[in-house]
Amino acid sequence: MPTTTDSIRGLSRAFAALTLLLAAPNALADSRSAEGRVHDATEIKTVIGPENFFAAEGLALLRDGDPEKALPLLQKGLKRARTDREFVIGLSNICAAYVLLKEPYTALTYCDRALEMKPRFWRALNNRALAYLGMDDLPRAKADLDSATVLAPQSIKLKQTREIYERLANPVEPLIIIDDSPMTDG
Amino acid sequence: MRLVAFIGLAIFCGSAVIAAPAGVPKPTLIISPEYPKRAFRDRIEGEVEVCFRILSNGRVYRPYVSRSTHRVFNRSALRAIKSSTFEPESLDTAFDKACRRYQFRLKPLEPEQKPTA
Repeated sequence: MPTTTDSIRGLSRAFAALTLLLAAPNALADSRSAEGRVHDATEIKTVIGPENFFAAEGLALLRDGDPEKALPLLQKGLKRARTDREFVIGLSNICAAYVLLKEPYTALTYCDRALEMKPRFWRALNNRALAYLGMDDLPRAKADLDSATVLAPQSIKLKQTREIYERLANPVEPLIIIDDSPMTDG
Repeated sequence: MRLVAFIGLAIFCGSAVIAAPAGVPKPTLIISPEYPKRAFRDRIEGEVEVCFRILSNGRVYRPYVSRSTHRVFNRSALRAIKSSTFEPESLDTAFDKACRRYQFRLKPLEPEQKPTA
């Protein structure tokens, strides 16, 4: 029979996947817009679909919860990155893939590289926090989460990651108290 | 008087504590509300008071939230009271309108219950 702890672990894993996957679409949008700006400035050409096909396909697979197939595509996409911004997003997505593959130490190297290039990239901070959570390094996870929350205070993904952190660091269980005693005003 | 028996439907293995003093309608089926997921995620605690009438068959009639510390709990509290029933025999005019308070609390787990991974 599953225990409360098992339930929390299962939920934590599910939320970890969800958080990473949900973090991806906007990153792709950023990538596309960055590329668009580059071409506007240099030359005019017709492009159908995403320019960095491998990055886009890898991201789609990552969103579908298939990091094994996503990873080689994301690696290829990283090699074809044309801007620093796209490169940083690629690093962050590869970091996310490794987190999903439960290889947090490898994930950390990619997130570190991304954050060296762009220290205020909150998605990479979020992914690195998840990597730290996978390594049971709760203080560093909290530090990254706090930094990311300053940059994106309303992010639902960060709230989900914080929930995972709180479940590991300060687990609680719900308690409902039903009180039928007569009302007292005030 | 503390009522020991309860039917707990709270998610996340939640538990319920029921305080039912004499002089109020005697419940026959107590449904514990679910702890709202968003409130649990954001670690929000709160309290909701719902008032209602009791039909002659013991069913709850026209419940409404009379007091709430956070609206995130309202729907869950209303759903719970709508599913609850009371003993028809105990009904009189005094119980034409009754109220119940739901306290949503988060209880820290004991150290040995903490997940390790």
